Amino acid sequence: MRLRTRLALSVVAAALPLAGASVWARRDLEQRRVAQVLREFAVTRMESGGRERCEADPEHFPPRPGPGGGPRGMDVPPPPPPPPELGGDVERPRRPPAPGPDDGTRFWAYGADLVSRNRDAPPVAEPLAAEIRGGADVALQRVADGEGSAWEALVRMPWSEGPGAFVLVRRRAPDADGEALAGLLTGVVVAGGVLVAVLFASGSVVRRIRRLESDVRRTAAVRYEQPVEVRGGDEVADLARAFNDAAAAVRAHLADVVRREETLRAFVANTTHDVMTPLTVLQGHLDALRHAVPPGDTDAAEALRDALREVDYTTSLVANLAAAAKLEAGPDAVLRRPVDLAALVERVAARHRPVARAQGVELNHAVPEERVVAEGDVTLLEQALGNVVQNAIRYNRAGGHVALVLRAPASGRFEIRVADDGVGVAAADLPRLTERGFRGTSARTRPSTGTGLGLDITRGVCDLHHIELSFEPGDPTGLVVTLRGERSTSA
Amino acid sequence: MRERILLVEDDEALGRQVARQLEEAGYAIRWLRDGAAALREDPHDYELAILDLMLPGAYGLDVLKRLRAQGELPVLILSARHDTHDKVRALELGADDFVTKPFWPDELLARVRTRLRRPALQREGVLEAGPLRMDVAGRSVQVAGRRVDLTRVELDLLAALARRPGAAVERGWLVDNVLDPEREGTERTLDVHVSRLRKKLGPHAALVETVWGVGYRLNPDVPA
Repeated sequence: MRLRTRLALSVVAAALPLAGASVWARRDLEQRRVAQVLREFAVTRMESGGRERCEADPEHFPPRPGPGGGPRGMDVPPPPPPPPELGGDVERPRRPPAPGPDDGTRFWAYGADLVSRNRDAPPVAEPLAAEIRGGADVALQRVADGEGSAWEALVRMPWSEGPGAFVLVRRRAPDADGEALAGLLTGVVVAGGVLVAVLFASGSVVRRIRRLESDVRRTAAVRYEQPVEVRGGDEVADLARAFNDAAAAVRAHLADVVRREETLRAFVANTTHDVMTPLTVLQGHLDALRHAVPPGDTDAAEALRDALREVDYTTSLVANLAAAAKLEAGPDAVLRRPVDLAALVERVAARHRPVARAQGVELNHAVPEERVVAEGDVTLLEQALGNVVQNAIRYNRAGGHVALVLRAPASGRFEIRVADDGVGVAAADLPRLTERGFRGTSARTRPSTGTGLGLDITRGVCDLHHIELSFEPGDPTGLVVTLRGERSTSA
Repeated sequence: MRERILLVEDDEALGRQVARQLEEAGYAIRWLRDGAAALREDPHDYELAILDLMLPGAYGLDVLKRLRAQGELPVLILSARHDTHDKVRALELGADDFVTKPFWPDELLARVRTRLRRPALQREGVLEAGPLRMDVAGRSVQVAGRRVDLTRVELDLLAALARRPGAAVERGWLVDNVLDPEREGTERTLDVHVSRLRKKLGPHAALVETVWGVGYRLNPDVPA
C-alpha cells in the first residue's frame, strides 16, 4: 500500500469513531435537556391544579380532547408563568418553548404502583418503570408514534401518594434520523478537513522518499559506484545515509568477488598452460609407441588406439576449459583481429589428422587459393572448429571419412563445412544440436553422445562472432556441420 | 642436403622429443634451451626456426624480433597459452605460423613441411609435381617424359591441381574456375572431364585422386 493511501486510511479509521462518539454525546445531551423540559412541564401541570382534578376524578384525568377536532381539547390550564428565578419571558430565548396544549404534548397520571386509573392511559413501559423504581426523578425513552417518533417521559411528582404520584408525558420528537445525519455530517466534515491537512503535510515527505528511491535505483544501475545524495537531517536523510553504508558494503563484496574470480581465472589459465607441455610429450611418446608396435599385435594396437583417444579427449577438455574461461570472462577478454581462415583450417586439419589416422578415419581438407580473412579471436575460432572436426572423427568408424572445406562464395561471406559419413545424429535430435543450454551435466561428465562441452564452446564462440552454425544430415549417412559468417575486408 | 632447423625450447623432455622426431624425419636440428643463446645465432644458417614463446633468459618475442630483423628466416611459434594476444603479437612481429600445445608429432611435422615446401612453380610458367611436368604458358604436358595431349579444360584442371600438389581442391571451386563459363557447368560435367583426363594419363591416372567430400587432388608421390 502506498504511503499516502495508508495515511488517508489511518486518518479515516481514527476519525470515524470520533465522529460516532460526538454524535452519541450530542444525543445524550439532547435527551437530558428533553427530560428536564418534560419534567418541568408535568410538575407544573400537576401543581397548577392538575393534582386536585386528578384526585377528584382519576378515571377521567386528564380529560380526552373533544370530538370537535380542536387541536388539543385537553382540559388543562394554560402554561404556567416561567419560574421566577429564570427571569422574565423575554429572557428565555435559549430554552425550548414550554410544551402547550397545541404542540402535541399529552400526559397521563399514574398511582404509586405505576397503574393509571384512567383506562385510556397507556401502560408504563417496563424500562421507564425500572428506571423510576431505581429512584430516578424522570425516565425518558423514545417511542414510535404514527409515522414519526415521540419522547415519553415518566416523571416522579413531588408527592408520593394518590392517583397522580407519577405522570407520563408524551411529546412529538423531531426526526431522529435527521439529527443523527446532522451529527454524522459534522464528523465527516471534520474528518475530511483533517484528511486534507494530513495529505498536504505528507506530500513533501512522500516527494523526498520518491527522490531517494530514484537516487537509489540510479546508483544501483552503476553497481553502487556513486553514493546517493543526503539531503536534510530527518529520518529520510538517515535512510539515505544507511543506504550509502549498505552500498559501501556491497561494493566491497563485489570487489572481493571480482578479485576471487580473477584469481580463479588466472589459476585455470596457468594450470592449462602448465599441463600443455607434458601433454605434448605424452602424445609424442604414445605416437612413438604406435610406430613401435609389431605388425599383428592387435591387442597392443588397440590399447594404443584407446590411449590416443583418451589423451585426445583430455587435451580437448583442457583446451575447452580454457576457452570456457575466456568466454565467461566476457567480450572484453576476446581479442578480435583479422584471422587467415585458410591457415586456421590448415592448422585444425593438421592437428586432428594424426588422431583420425590412428582410428582409420580419413580427414581431408581444402582451402581456396585466394586469401579468406574474417575478424575474430583466432584461439576461440580454432577451438570452435576443432571441436566440430573432433566430433566428426570420434563418431565415425574405421574406413570412414571427414571432409573439412573452406569456401569463399562471391557474396562476401565465408563458409566452413565439416562433413562426415559416420553414425550421424537422429533427425529428431538435429534441432536440439543448435539449442542453447543443451548441455546438462556434460561439462563435468563424459558425454556419451556427440554433444558435450565441446559443442557448447563452439556454439558460444559462433554466437560471439555472429557465425551461423547449422546441422544437416549427411548423404547417405553422417552429419554436415556448416559455419557461415562475414568475411573481413581488411588485409 | 638436409634442411637445417633452429629449435628454441626450454622444456627438456619436449625439446629432446621434438629434436628426435625432426631428425628422424630427415632434418638437421640445432636445439637451444634458452633465448639468450638464440639471440646469438645467425639466422642465415637455417631454413626454419621453431620458437617456444615461453623462454627463460629472453622473452620468445624478443628472439622473434631479432630473427626477423636479420633476415627472411621462416619462424614457427610453439605456444602453450590459450592467449590470443601472444599469437596475434607473434604474427604481427612476422612469425609465419604457430602450433598450439599439445601437438602431435605428425602435426608439427606437417606444419614444418608446409613451411619448407618448395613452390610448385619452379620456373616461369612451368609446374612440376612427381612425374608431371607442365608448361602452362606453352600449354604442353609431359608425364614421365611422354607428351600427353589435353583439351583446354583438361589442361586448366590439371594446372589448378598442380599449382598446389598434394592439396585437395574443392569441386565447387573447380566448377567455378576451370569449366567453360560459356557453357552450363555442373559437378557432373567436372567429373566427366576428370574421367577423360585420367584416361589420357594412362598408367599415371592415379596422379589425379578423388578426395571424399572435397573434390580432387594431385598426388605427386605416385610412382613414376
